[in-house]
Amino acid sequence: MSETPLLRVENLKFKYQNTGGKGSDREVLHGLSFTVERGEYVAMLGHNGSGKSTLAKLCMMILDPTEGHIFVDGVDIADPELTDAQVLAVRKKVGMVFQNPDNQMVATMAEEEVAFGPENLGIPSAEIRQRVDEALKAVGMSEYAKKEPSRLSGGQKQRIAIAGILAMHPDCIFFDESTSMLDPQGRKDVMEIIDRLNREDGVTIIHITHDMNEAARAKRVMVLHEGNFVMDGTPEEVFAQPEKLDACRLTVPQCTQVMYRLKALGFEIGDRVTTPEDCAEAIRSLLGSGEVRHG
Amino acid sequence: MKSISLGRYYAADSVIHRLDPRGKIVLTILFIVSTFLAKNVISFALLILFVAALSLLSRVPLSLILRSLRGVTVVIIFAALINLFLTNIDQATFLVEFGEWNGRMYGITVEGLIRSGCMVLRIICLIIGTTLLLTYTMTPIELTDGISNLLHPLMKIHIPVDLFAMMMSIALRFIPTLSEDAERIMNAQKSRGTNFSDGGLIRKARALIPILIPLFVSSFKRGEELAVAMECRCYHSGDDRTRMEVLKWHVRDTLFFLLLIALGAGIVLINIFFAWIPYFTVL
Repeated sequence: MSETPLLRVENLKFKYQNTGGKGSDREVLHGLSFTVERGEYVAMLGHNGSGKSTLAKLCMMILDPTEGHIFVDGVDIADPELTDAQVLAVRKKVGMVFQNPDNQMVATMAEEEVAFGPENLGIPSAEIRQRVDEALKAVGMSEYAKKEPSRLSGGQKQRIAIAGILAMHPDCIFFDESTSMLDPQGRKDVMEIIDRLNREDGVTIIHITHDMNEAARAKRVMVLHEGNFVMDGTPEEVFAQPEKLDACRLTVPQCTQVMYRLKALGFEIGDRVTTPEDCAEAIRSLLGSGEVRHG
Repeated sequence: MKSISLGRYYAADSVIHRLDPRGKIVLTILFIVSTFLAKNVISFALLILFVAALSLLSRVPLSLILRSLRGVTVVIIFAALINLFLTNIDQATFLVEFGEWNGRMYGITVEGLIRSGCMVLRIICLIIGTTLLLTYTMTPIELTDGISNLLHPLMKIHIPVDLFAMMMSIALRFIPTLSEDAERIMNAQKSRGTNFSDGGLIRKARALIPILIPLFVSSFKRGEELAVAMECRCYHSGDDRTRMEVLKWHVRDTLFFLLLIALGAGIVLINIFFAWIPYFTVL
């Protein structure tokens, strides 16, 4: 029995209709095809205007594709004859955390904010309460349940937003540059939650970002450039081609660069070095092995 | 943080916070009526006692309660002055006489003092009481719930009460965000040399344009993003929405209700039975 992939995109094209009257419609996606299996942790990289946010909006049915198909758990969401109930069923499976935490908050209390999604799904009150408590615990915000989101830091707001999605029990969560407006600590907290959701709860993660260090934490990196996927592979495979990334106006993470330079100088370094911690570890072991002399 | 207290919920766990929002909305209306019924020094004492009890029970800090008055300072001063100088009672006891004009004596009278004092107390009680009941102890979602619950029968005649309720709660939720936006824009414009304080009324009004336009643009942008986020979280109008907190009417709600009815009745009775006491009846 073969399992249906969670997300299957076939020859997806999208044009922004030019309403100004001048110029022609701008095509931002030129026929994308890819699949994301259940439990994957994918980072979608691309510089500004590469079409990555458009892709997420298409998957959330905020925009309709000009051409092509998107299958979420076997259901074609590009089908214009989808019933409202089917639309809700798809949106329940796929959640999305946005860039600006302020603009996605509906309620003035953290727990009511988290409850908003389940309330829309028509879940019984007692179960909502249980889901909200669980979701807040999962993002480490239980003690802030009664706080106003506007009094929380950016990172904390974003964690509440994640809890709001988690409470809907989605199979897959899109993060649309969810860390880009946060301070370093907020970023770190949110990234740890994203990693943990995938590792421990098996939630499929699609992290849209232009931060290479964050992308390096995923298990699969897809690089979007001018509306086409130009690279798709493990972070090691992708980051091993810095020239190709350069052409997409992306810069390889500093630690990876250091590792490649060291390798070029003839040092023995494993391929699985993508995070600064790994990098420090690798250098430490190099120093310890006596291959490098101090001074 | 802001001087606008509207829409600022004060998170705490108190009896007042736990009261049923439907009850609190009706209570607020009763309370407003009571403040206007008070026409007598004793009934004002009762009113003040009630507001003081409410403040203590709500556990909202005094500084925050007083801040809710900041917005109405001008109204209070105006009401006080008008009542002080223009109280028109025959055989008034004058403390200071200013002089006669059109056959009438003008000056500061005992009656005027009492009346303006009572007016000030009435406005203060009114503002503190309503902000405590409606904003500090009730989240916009609760307020929305309360109102939509009270108005639910209107759904029968196809008035989309739930949509209005959602719009209202979002408007309330965005007040702090937008006032922060306004401040940020104002600072940005000031740093570029816009002058907001000099010039006449028209010039000052014109100076607001560089604030209002960016504020409009940013609120539209926020609104659009919020709409998308809400849609992604399966928001739709209709009867199949459930709530985490289902409103429940408790014994304490009935008690508070009775208390307010007692307050209103007490004020009316005092007005009737103590009307003969000199200086006691105000209006």
